[in-house]
Amino acid sequence: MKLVDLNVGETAKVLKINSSLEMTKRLNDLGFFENVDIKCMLTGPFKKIKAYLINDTLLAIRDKDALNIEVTIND
Amino acid sequence: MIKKIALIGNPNVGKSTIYNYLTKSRQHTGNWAGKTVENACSTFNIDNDTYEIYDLPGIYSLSAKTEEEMVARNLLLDNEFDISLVVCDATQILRGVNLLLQVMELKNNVALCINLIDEANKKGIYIDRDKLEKIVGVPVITNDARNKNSLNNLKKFIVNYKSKLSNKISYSEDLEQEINNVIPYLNTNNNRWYAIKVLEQDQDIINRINYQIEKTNKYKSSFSKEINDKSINITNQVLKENSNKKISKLDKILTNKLTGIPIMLLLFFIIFWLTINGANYPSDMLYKFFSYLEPIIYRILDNLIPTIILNPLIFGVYRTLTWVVSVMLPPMAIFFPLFSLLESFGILPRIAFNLDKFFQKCNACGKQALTMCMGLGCNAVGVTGCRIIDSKRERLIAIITNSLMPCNGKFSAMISVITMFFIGFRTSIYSSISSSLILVLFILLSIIFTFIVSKILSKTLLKGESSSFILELPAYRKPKILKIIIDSLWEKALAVLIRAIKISAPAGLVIYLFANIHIGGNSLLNICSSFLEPFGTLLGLDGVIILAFIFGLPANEIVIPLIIMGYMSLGNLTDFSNLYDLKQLLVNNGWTVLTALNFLILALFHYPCSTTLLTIKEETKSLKWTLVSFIIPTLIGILLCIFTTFLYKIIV
Repeated sequence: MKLVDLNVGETAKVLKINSSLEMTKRLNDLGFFENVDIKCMLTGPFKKIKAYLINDTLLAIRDKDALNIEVTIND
Repeated sequence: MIKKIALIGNPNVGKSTIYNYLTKSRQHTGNWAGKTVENACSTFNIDNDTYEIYDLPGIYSLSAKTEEEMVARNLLLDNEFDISLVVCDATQILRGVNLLLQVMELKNNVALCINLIDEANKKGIYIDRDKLEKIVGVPVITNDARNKNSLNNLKKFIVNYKSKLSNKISYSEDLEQEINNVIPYLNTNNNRWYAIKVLEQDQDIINRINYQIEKTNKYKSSFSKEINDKSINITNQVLKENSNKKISKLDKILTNKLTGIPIMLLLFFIIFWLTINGANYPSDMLYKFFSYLEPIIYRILDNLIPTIILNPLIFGVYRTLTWVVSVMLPPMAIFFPLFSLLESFGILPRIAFNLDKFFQKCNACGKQALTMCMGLGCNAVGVTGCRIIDSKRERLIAIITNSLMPCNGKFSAMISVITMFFIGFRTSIYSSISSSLILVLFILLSIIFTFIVSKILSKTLLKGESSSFILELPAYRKPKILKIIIDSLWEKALAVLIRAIKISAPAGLVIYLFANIHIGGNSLLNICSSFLEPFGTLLGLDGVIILAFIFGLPANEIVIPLIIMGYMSLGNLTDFSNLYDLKQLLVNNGWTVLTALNFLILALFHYPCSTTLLTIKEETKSLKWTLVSFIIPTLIGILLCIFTTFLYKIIV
């Protein structure tokens, strides 16, 4: 599934980052790598953006960018 | 001997706070990523030793893919340091270790400072410092950047630092093999590091040493991935965490659909209300004081200086200066500290998060909300702040639209007109609430026009889709209230005031001369303002007001005093000593509600001040975009004024 499909409160593992090289670099900088756990924390008041918790950092990513990240939900 | 120290770290981990403490300087600090965009350098003494300390911009890696990384890496490459101090946030230890390993690869004499340790402990995050020191092989110190004792320990740590070679990371066998294949071709002071960069196809390094291997993306991220794996491994060994990964209640409320936006508007309302209400009385007092002083000074100097020199000094320079001081100083002294408090608490990134959908619709970057907020303090600062936006197209949009947000200098003029014409002078709760409301409405208008212009730019001059970005929502930090108040007064308010004073003195003189140099029986001012009169009338204003805006190019703060002087020289000499008399002067010169409204509109939307224009030129390196930034707000102001005048004529 895609990162964008994660609901608030759900945790998943990052499988694959298909973003542009630049975006991948920025994600990596913030500790966002494959095999890392990620939890969806907030939805923007007008949707289209969500905040995710990764290694104790709260990161907001637009839904259209979160489409490029594949995750699998943890049980 | 001077010892050199470099402060290296992720954005927003407290580097600037450490820098300020050590050097006793007042670099601006705030709770969001991207505060320092240039290297700051300063010296300080401990005992008899002099230290030169460099505060590098916040970076995540030494890959040099962003401007900050480039600036920081070049500084590290071109200088030898006695200590390369990597600073990290204790709640983000993984990132800190990652950067530490990269710095160790490049430099010797490295140390790690784990900052904000108290905050981490409060959250149930504990770090085994001794173990970490053993694993990485460089000295590690924990620090609470907002605690004096802890900072003193950091000083001792620096004094006692013994130079130390860094252990280099060993990569997997095949990567090591590749490195060894490249090294023989290099002749640098750190062949291993350069070899890795060559393998990563780092263009900047390739140009630097003029050596290139066959172009391949094979190793582009292999090294950083292995460094990250190592960092995770190290972190897992030293980190004990009991923190619960729940969202904070505050974030729930602040980003909620129903409460998020209203709370933010309310916050701005409260800030304005406190500013207007608090500034009203001291402003009036200052004004009365200066008016009382004027004849006394005049009488004393009258015996010493010939009238032909004294008059321009008193009626030109003194009046403009004292107006700027009395009208600007009190609101600034209240607004800047309040805004700094919001900033250091961590509210601004939440505003960006809430408003992002609108920026998406404009194909702009969500971080533009941050630069807009900065523009409220000073547009030049806002324009520089646009560097936090990575995409060049989106950065230009943010720069061009920044001066649509009224800066502090415009506030003071707007507040006095709002008070005179829309509120009245009785300082009741009701009147201060309504003038704050009016100001919030004008800010809303600014925001709306920012969106409209951004959208239009995205469809025309700066066509393109929005690029990806990540917005960090930092943990809320309890601000050190007193320190912030003093710092923001000192660093921001005073700096802006001094700039305004420097500009208002000569501007006051020039306009006085304009009013008193006569050609053919008519003053220069009269000739110019009559020339501008038809244009002024079209905008529902008059020639003097237009002239004041033109002369106000160096600083928005001087527009009103210029208008006053213009009117006084035209013969309607009123002896006034407070805002009420001032209103009389304006009314006697034909001001109506429409004039006041259009003045506010034009104050909100006109060309950026000269300082901001120069900053735009510097940031965009383009005359074209500077010109666009000049024209767009001016055009909006003119068109809006024509529109309201037209409406007014129909209705009244």
